[in-house]
Amino acid sequence: MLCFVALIVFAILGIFSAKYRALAIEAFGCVGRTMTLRPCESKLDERIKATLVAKTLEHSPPLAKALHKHFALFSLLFTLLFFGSMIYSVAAVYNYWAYGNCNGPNSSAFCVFDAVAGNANNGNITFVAPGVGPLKGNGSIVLVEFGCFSCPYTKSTEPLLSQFLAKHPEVSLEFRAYPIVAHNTSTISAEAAFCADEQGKFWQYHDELFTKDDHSLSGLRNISQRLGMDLNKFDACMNSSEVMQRLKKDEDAGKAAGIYGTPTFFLNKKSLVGPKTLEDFENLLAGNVQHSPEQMSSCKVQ
Amino acid sequence: MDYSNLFCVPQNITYFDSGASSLTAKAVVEKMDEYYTQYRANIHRGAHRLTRKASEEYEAVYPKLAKFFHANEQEFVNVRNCTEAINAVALGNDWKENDEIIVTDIEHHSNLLPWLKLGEKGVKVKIIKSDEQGIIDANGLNEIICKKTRLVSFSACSNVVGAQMPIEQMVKISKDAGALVMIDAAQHVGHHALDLSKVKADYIAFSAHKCFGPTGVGVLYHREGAPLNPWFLGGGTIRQASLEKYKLIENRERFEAGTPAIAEWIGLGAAIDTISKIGYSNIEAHEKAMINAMLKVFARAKNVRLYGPAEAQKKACALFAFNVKGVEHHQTAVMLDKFAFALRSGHHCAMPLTKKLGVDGTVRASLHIYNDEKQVQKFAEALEKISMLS
Repeated sequence: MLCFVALIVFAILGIFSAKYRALAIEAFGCVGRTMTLRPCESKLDERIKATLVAKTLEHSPPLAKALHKHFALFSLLFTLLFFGSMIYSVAAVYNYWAYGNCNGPNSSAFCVFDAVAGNANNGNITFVAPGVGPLKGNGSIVLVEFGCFSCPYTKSTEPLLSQFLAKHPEVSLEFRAYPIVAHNTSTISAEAAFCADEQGKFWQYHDELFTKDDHSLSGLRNISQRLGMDLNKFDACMNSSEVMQRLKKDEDAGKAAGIYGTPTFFLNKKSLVGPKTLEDFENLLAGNVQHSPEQMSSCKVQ
Repeated sequence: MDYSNLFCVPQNITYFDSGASSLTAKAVVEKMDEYYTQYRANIHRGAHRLTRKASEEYEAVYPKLAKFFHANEQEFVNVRNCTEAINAVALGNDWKENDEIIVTDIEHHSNLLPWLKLGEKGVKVKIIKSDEQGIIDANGLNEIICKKTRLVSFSACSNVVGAQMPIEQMVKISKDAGALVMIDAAQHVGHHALDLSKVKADYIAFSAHKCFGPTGVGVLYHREGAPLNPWFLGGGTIRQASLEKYKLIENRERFEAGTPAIAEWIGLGAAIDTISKIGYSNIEAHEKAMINAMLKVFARAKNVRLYGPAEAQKKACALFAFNVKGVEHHQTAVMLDKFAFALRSGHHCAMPLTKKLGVDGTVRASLHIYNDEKQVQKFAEALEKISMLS
C-alpha cells in the first residue's frame, strides 16, 4: 500500500536525484504488482517497513512493536491521509487560482499560500470612511472600494457589485484607486480614470477599463475618444502633477488602513478583501461580517 | 591480537557478511594496484618488460598455491569463481548413463545444479540427508555409495548453518568405493588449512573473494590423474592449431582459455600470503572465540531462533543462521543495517536446506578474523531491540 505513496514521493525526489529515480522505478514496479494483487518483488515495501520500525525502535520500542504488528493498517491510514491531503491541496490551489483564496469563495479562513507568498497579514485593516472618491448611486449607505484596474480580482468582482448595487439602491459605491505595482498599467489606468473624472466620465471610464484589456497610453486615449472626452484635456491631465497627487492620496489612505490586496471593501466599519459572493456583500451590509480575518486572497500589494 | 588493520574494513558499519564475501586484505589491494600501475600488460603474449613482469607475477601464484595446499602447481587452474570450478568438473568429464553422483542436502546451489543438469545425460544424483541441524553424518554416504558412483561432491562447511562436514571420512569412504571426490571449499579456505597431501580429494573449488582476495577469480584444483577435459577452448590452450585440427598444451594452461583475470589472480596470491602471515592457528583460535561469543548471544536472546548446531565443536566457522520470531528475515536484516550491521538474509542459495529448516529464509551472521567481541556485544544489543517486536 505504501508503494503508492513511495512512487509519488520518490518520483518527485527523483527529479533532483538519481538515487531516488531508482527507488521510484522500484516503487512503480511495486505499484503494478500491488494493483494486480501480487506481492512486491523488490520488497521495497518491506524495506520501508523495516526502516521505519528500526528508526522507531531507537526511540520507542512499544510504538515500534505496534507499528511492526499493524503496519498494513498504518500504511493504509497513511496512504489515505496522503491522497486526501493531496486532493485537498489541489483543491486549495484551484481555489487560490479561481477565487484568490485557497479555502474557496465564501471562506475567510487562513490560506497558507498567503503566508508562503509573504503576504501574511494579521487582518488589522482599519476602517476607511467614505467621502473622498467618485460616488456611484444615490444611496445613503456608502460602500468604499479600494480597487486596481489591472487586478483580475477587482475585475471579477464588478458584475457582483453591479448586482448588489441594483438590489440595494440604498447603497452607493465609492471608488478609491489602489494600483498594484506588479501590474504594469495599474498606475497609468488609475490616473486615466481620475482624468476622466475631471470631465465627469469616471464611471463610464471605470467600466471601460474593466472591459478593455489595452491599458497602454494609446489604449487609454482610445477609450477617452470613444467616450467623447476632450483628448487635449485628457493628455494635459495625464501629464499633470495633480492627478499624481490625487492617486497618491488614495494610495496613502490605503496604506494607512493596512490594505494588503485588492479589491478591499469598507462598509459598516468592517472590511472585506478579495473577490466575494453576493452573499458576502449582503452580510457586509447586514453587519454580519466579523472583523476582517487573518487572510483572504486578492491582488497582493508587493 | 587485532588483525583488522590488515584488512580494508568499512567505516560506520560492522561487517558480519563474510560468508557471502570476506573483506579484502590490504595487501591484495596493494598488489593489484601495483599490477595496474607498474606492469599493466597481458601475460604470455610478448617480449616487452611489462608483459614479462606481469607473467612472472602471475605465474608466481601457482607455486604459492601448491605450497599452501601441499600440491603440484600444475594442478591449479584459474577460474572465475567456485561456481565455475564446479561446473568445469561437471562439463569436463565424460558422464555416462546411470553414472551416479552423490551430493548432500545442505549444498549451495552451485554444488547441486551442475550435477542435476547431468540428469539430461542419464546421470543419477543421490542425496545424503542431513539431520535437523544441517549436520551430515558420513555413515549416510556409506549407505548410498555403490559401484556406479562416479563422484561424491560436498561442501567442506555449510554456507547456511556453518556446520562442520566430516571431510576426511567422506573422502575415505568415497575413495574406498572408487569414486572421485570433489570438495566445495568456498567456506573453508579462509578459515581452515587444507592439506591436499592428506585430504585425497580429486577436485577442490573455491573463490578468492571468500578468503580475503578479490572478486572475479577462483581456483579449481584437480589432482593429477583425475579426469578433466577442457570445458572451454581458445587462446592460450593449444600447442598447435590449423584449419583442420588443433593440439592442446599438456599442462594446466589448456584449461585457461583466453586472457585470465590477471590482476585478480595476482591479488589471490597476496590473499594467500595474508593467510600465511596470520596463520591458520590464529584464525581458528579467533574464530572459535567468535563462535563462543555468538552462541552465548543466541542462547540469551529471547524470541530468536538459531538454526544449525548450537555447540561450538560442531561449527566449522563463525556463521550463524537465525530468525527473530514474528519478524521476516529480510526485514530483520534491514533493521540490523539501520543499527549498522551488515548481514545477509534469504535462502543463501541453498533452498533445499532452507526448506528443510522449515522457513523461507534466514538472517545470516558470518564473522571472521577482523571482527571482535565488542562488535558481538553491540550485535547482541541490536538483536535484543529487534526481538522486542515479537
